[in-house]
Amino acid sequence: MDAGLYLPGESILHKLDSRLKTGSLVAVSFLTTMAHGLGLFSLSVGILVLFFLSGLSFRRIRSLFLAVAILGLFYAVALGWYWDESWHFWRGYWSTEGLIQAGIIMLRIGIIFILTRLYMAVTSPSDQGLGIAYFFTPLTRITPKAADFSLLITLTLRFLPLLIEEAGMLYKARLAKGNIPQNTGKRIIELANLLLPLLSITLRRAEELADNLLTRGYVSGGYRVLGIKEWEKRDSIGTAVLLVWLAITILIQNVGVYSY
Amino acid sequence: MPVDELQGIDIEYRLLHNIHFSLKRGEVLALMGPNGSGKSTLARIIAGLTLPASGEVIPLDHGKKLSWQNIERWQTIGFIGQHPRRQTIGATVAEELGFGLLNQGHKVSEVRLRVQQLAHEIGLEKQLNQSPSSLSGGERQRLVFAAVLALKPSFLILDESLTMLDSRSQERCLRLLNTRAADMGQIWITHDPELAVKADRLLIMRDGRMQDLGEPSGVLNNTRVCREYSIRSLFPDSTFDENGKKPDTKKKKITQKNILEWEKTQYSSRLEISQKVKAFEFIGIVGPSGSGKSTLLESAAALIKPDTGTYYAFGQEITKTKNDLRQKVRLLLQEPGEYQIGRNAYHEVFYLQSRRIKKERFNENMEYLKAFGIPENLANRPLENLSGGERQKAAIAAALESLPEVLLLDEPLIGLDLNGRLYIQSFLREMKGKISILYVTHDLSEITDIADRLWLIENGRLKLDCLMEDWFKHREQLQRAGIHCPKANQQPEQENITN
Repeated sequence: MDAGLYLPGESILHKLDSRLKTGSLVAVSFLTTMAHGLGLFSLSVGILVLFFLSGLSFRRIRSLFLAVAILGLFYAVALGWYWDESWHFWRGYWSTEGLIQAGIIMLRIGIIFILTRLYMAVTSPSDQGLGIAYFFTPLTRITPKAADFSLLITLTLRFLPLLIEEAGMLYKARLAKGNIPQNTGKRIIELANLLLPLLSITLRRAEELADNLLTRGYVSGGYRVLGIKEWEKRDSIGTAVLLVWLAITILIQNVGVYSY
Repeated sequence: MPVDELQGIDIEYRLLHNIHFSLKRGEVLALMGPNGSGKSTLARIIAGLTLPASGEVIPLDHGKKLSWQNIERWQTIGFIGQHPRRQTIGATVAEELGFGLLNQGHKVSEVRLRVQQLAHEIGLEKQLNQSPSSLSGGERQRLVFAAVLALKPSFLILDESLTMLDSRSQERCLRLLNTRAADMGQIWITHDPELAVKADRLLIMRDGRMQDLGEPSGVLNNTRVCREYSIRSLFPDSTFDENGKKPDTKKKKITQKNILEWEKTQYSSRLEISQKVKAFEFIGIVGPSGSGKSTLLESAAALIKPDTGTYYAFGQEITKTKNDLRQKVRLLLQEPGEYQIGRNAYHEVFYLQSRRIKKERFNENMEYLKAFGIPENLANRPLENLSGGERQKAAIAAALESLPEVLLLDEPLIGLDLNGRLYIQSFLREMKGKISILYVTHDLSEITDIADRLWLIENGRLKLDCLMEDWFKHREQLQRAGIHCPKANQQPEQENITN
C-alpha cells in the first residue's frame, strides 16, 4: 500500500522520525516564503544537501524543474516586462529589478516543490499520516474536530495508494477481456468506461473502512496517535541540525545587496 | 455489562425472512448456504452494521433481556471480514493493534504495553513500526484477529475470514481463536466444510430462511443432504458429478508442442522461473499465500514483462510492442467479482459484443448465463446489487465466454457455493484436452482428479514439478508449504449418494 510517490530506501532521511520530517517540512516551507537574500541562498544549499543525502536520482525531480520553469516564465513576463500606462504593451522593456524579483519567486517555489517531493519520497504514506496527526494532537483540546481531521488525513494518505492498486487491478481485468483499441478516440472511451467501476470500488472500499472503524469503536473526536517508535539519537541530532540551519538562514538573510 | 447470549427474533430484511437463532458464549455456529442466500447480510445485522426492517437481535444475561442502549455493541460483538488487505485501519502494526484499545478508553501507556505483548503473541514484534501493507496476507489477517480479540468481545463473527488463507495461516488464526474459545460465542460464515465441521452447530441459509441442522459432521458427511442444501460435503466436489457418478478422468492426449515458455525469466523479486507448458496440458499450481502464483499467471497473460530472460507464447517472443495474446490467453483474476466493468451481469459477460450482436444473440446469451446459474432477473440487475458469489459467477462466465487457447484461473472456486463449484468443475473436465489450463489454488483436492501436472511455487521459485498422479509422494512437502491436501481414503459412503 505504501506506493505512489514514496520510494523505499535506506538513506538517513528515510530513517529519521516522521514527526521530525513533518515538522521540518512545515518550518522550512514557512521560512522559504519569508526569507530573502543570503537566507534564500542558505535554504537552497540546504535543500541540495538534503537531496544528495536522500539518495534520490535527478530523474525523479526532472519534471519539477519543467513546472518551475513554466511558472518562472509566467512571473518573468508578469513582473519583468515593464511598460508605461500610456504605451502599447509591445513598446515596453525588460526591467532588471522585475526579473530579479521573478527569479526569487521562482526559487522559492522551486525550494518548496523539491522539499515536498523529498518529504514524500523518503516518508511512507502511513508515516506521513502519523507525523501530521502528531501535530494535530494539541488542537484536539480546542475542538474534537481536530482529531477527526487528523484521522481523515491519515486515512486519506493510506486510502490513496490502495485506490491506485485497485485501479491497476481494474485495468488488468479490462485487459483480460481483450486488447484495448489502438485508435486514440476508442481508447479514451474504453478508459472512460473504467471510471464508473472505479468509483463503485472506491465507494465499496470507503464503506468497508467505515465498517472497520465502527466495529473497532471509533467515535468522532476520539482519534489518538499511537506512536511506538522511539525517538532516537539521530532524530535529536537531526533536530539540532535543523534548528542551526534555520537560525543561520534567519541571521544571514539581511546581509547582502538585494532584499525583497 | 456481561452478555452471555444473543438471540435473533423474527428478523426480516430484504431477502431475509423470519430469522430466529440463539448463540451462547463458548458456542461455535457454522453458517453455510448458497451464494446470495443472505449470510453476510445477517452477519451485518447481528454486528449492528445494518438495521433490520423488523425483528431484533437481543442481548441476554442469564436469560434476562438487556438493552443495547446500555451496552457497547462493538465491544460485545467483534466482526472480521474476508480480505486481509481491506481489514486494517492502522498506519502501523502497533496502531492497528492499539486502535480499538484506545477507543475503549485505555491510557496510551497501557495500550503501548499491551500492543507489545500482542505483537509478541502473533510473532510480529519486529514489525511494530511497519505498515500492515508490508505484511503477507496470512500475517495481516492474524494481525486483524489479534486486534479484534484484544477487545475481548463476547461474540465474534467471521465472514469468510479464513477463506483466502493457506492451511498454515488458517491454523495460526484458529489457534488464536482457541485462546478465547471458552468464553466467546462465534459465528463462522463459510463455504469450507472442513472448517464448518469443527463448529458445534450447523446453520443453513437458503433463500433468506435459516435452518438449524444441529451437529455438523452428520450433515457434512452426507453428500446427498449437502447437495440438497447446495453446500459442500467433506468429500471433494469433483469425486462424483451431479448424478452421483464418477467423472471421466481418462487421460486426454497432450501434444509435445510447447505453447508457453519462460526462459530464465525474472519478474522483480517476486518470481524467477524457467518452465514450459505443452498444448492441451492442465497444470495445477499450488503454493502458500504470497509465493508468486498470481504473478506467474499475470506473466503468462503478458500483463507484466520480465526484468530478465524471455517469455515465449505460441512460439513467439512476447515483447512490449508485440503482444497479441489477449484473444488466445484469458486470465481470470483472483476475486474476479470485485473487478467488474459491465453495468450488469449480461453486459459484463458479453462486454466485447457490439450492441447489435448483443441484441441478435439475446436468447443464446441468456442460455449461456443460465448454465452458470445466472437467470434473466439476475442478469439485468446492476452488479452492485448482486451477492459476492453471484458476481463471481458472472466473472467466470465472462472469462469463458470466447473460448481461448489457454485459460488461466486464479483461485476460481473461492467464495462459490456447491452448484457454482460443480458447474465450473464439470466445465473444466469438458475443456480438458481441448485447451491448456493453468489453475492456481491452495486446495489440492480441487485438482487431484483433473490436472496432468502439479507445480509447487514457494518464495517465487518452482520447488516441485511432478505428474499429478504422483502428488501423494510429495504429501509432506506440500503440507509443509501450507497446501490443503485431500485426506487418504476420502470417499463418501455409497449409501450417501444413492439415498
